Amino acid sequence: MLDELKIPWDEAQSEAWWERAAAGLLSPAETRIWQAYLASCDPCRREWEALTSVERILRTAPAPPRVADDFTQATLARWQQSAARATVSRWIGILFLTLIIVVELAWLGHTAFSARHLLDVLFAGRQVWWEALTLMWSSFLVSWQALLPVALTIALLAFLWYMPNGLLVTAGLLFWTHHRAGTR
Amino acid sequence: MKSQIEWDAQHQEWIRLAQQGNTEAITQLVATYQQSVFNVCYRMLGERAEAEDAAQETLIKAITKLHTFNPERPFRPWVLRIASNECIDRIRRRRPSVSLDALGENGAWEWQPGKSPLPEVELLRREREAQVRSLLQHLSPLDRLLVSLFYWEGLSYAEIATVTNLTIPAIKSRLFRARRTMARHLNQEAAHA
Repeated sequence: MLDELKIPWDEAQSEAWWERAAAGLLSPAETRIWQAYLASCDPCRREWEALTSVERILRTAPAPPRVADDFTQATLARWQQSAARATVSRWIGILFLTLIIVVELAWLGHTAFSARHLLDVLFAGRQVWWEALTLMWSSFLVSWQALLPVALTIALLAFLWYMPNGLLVTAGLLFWTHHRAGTR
Repeated sequence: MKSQIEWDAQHQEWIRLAQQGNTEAITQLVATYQQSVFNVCYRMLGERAEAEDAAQETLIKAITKLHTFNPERPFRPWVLRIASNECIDRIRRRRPSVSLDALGENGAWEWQPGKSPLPEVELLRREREAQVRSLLQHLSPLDRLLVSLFYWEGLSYAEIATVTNLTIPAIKSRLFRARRTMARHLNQEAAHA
């Protein structure tokens, strides 16, 4: 029958045909072709009938149950609880953040204070050392006259103590030099 | 009875006030959209308690994000988009488990006088409901959403496009494929029966 009507099988089986047929968009001529196609194909006809049944089932499906009478109030109560929880969470978050910032700032402040304290100690130590050194040199300069004989005596004694051979050699050299000068 | 124009104006006013935190306006918006949101969640999740929970979560998210909503755009697709995201997330989070759909909504069903007109009518309703649930079970979450928005929420293709971020041709194509998938499963069930 399809061959007699020159129906293109592939086209009849295509989804576009099915869609248009289901939506009732076939022209009278196309409807005849479609019916001939269904008549010639048992599985296609069964599927078409099932498709029509599905359409009917969906169109006449019983409405879902009504929501409970207190649904609105329950929803609003849940929303308010949720909003209250969100507010508490927000405040906890703000407090936590504030705490972190305070701790961070305190740590930074402490570190800065400690660093400055260390620098102060170093600078103060250097000042003390410098003052002591200056004072010592000032004392030397002021008491130069009094210290000189003592220092020279100490130097001479040290020289004699540590360099007796050197003195003998020096005395020997001086003697030999004067002797040569006398013989010339 | 308010005309559509009056209702739209009232609705815009609710949104404006709700964005400023007016509790009365927020209550009105929740009351207006809760059933629609629940319906989508119920169709997508297939279980009443979870659907109610998801619907409440959706509405809370909508209230919380209300300041981001552009009042010049339609509100319903916006809130249903939040609902669809919520439900898809829940489906993804689900662990593989044995389906309890065959047991019905709350396990064994018991007829309660005063709540249902007739036990036979209620039984028939539940059978049809179970059939719909069974068919939807074979679809991906997105296709389930498309079917739900198209058939039961009555959204236009343009509105569905707003909710899902799909193009209109893609929506039409996916809807058809979803129907075809359900039809094949219906055939298989009939063959097994």
